[in-house]
Amino acid sequence: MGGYGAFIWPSYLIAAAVLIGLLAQTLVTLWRRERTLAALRATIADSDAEKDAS
Amino acid sequence: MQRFANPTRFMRMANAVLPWCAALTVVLIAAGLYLGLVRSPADYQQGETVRIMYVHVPSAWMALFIYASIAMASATALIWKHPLADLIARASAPVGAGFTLICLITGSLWGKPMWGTWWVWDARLTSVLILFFLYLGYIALNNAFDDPTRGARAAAVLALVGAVNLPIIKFSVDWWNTLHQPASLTRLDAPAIHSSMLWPLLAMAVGFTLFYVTVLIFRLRSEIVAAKIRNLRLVQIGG
Amino acid sequence: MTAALRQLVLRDLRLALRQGADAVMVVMFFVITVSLFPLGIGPELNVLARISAGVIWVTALLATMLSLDRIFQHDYEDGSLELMILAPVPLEAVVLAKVAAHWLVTGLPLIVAAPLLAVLMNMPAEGFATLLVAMLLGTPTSSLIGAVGAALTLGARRGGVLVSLLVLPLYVPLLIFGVAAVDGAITGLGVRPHLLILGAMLAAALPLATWAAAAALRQSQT
Repeated sequence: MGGYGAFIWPSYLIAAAVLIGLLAQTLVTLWRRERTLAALRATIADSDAEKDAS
Repeated sequence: MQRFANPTRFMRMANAVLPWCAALTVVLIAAGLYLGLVRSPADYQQGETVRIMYVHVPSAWMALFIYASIAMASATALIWKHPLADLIARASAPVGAGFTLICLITGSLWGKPMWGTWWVWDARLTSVLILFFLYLGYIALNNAFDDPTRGARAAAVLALVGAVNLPIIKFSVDWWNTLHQPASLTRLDAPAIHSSMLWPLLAMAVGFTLFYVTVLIFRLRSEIVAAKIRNLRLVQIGG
Repeated sequence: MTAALRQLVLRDLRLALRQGADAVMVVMFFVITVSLFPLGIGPELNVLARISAGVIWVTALLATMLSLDRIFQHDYEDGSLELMILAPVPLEAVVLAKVAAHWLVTGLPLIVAAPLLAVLMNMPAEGFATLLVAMLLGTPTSSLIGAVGAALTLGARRGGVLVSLLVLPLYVPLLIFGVAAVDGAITGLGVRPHLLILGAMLAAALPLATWAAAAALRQSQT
């Protein structure tokens, strides 16, 4: 890299880190929210079933 | 536009496009990396450091493009009260901030060997730094309210006010005499750069754009799930 | 309508005077902060002369920013803002009146105090007049931009810190051209273009910031 590798590689690595970090953060948030939603739906379904039973 | 107005239909279409977007993103960025790091020659003035440009320039474009998208989505949200436009603006901001950060850091890494300094306070660099601060302010304002629609409205007004900065960034290189070079691509009939450098640049630029679209679809899905959670919690409290 | 607006300006001025020391506090902040710089940097007169315009401008903008919560916060809390939004007077005019009152209470005292600070900072005599003109053009713009930030953060969590994050980046052009004007006067390179740009920013901020602040106020009530 003509002696400039110390500047070229970090710029590619940092760009990759930022983009992959963004993607990871997005997917983790999506996954967490979907789990929360599923759990919430389950509890609501349970409480409805209890109401029906009583 | 009315066809896209329905969030459910929009998300169905978005989910159909998603795998293609994701696959093309990987292909194009891989191609850009191969062309940029292996195939393209060193510049006769900048030497090998020109390879930093293949990340720096596309991320600068993305930083401006995403801010413009946010501003347009905000205008749509304010004028037509369109719920999807609010979500698009909100979901775009972190991606735009990320690209602005990449642009600033890679620019700094290029400036050290070429200009002999990590940072100069010239017009272009300063206005991109301000763009970064605008992104951060936008994200902070969006999250600062208990009621998410309140935050979205306030942030939309801020996005429109901050849009004043866009032309300043675009033209700052022409208005002030600075260290930063003017754009090389504006003359489409006869670009000022050779095709061996143009192709990696374009591949990266389209790859970054598709990356943005991919992440945007995921984030929109996530925002819609969050809205469902909020509604269910309200139902739960209401009995 | 003009009568109603005059009433509004007078009401805000009266409130500011009754609550007492607000204007005095802003000027005190201005003076104390500027006088910290010679202590921090060292009292070399030529260094102080070199940085005087920048220090005075930065501190003036910070002082304006600290007083921004006064524009709408009280009216938002006690509900009178709701009445102003419902009133037959256009909300944009109300914003303009409130910004005018804010400028009279904070911007004007800052301009009055600026020459004293210029002396303390050893600013060359050629810069004084330009500093005053530049601040006369620049401080109304900073009040206008600040009103947008203040209106946007009404009811927000951590509103005080947030407003600085929103407003300070937008103050950067003011700072650049305000300082460039004074430097141009000192070095003899000409002040006209810088002052014209400051004037243009004021002319642009008048309609734009008024609209944005009014839009922000309307949505703050939902």
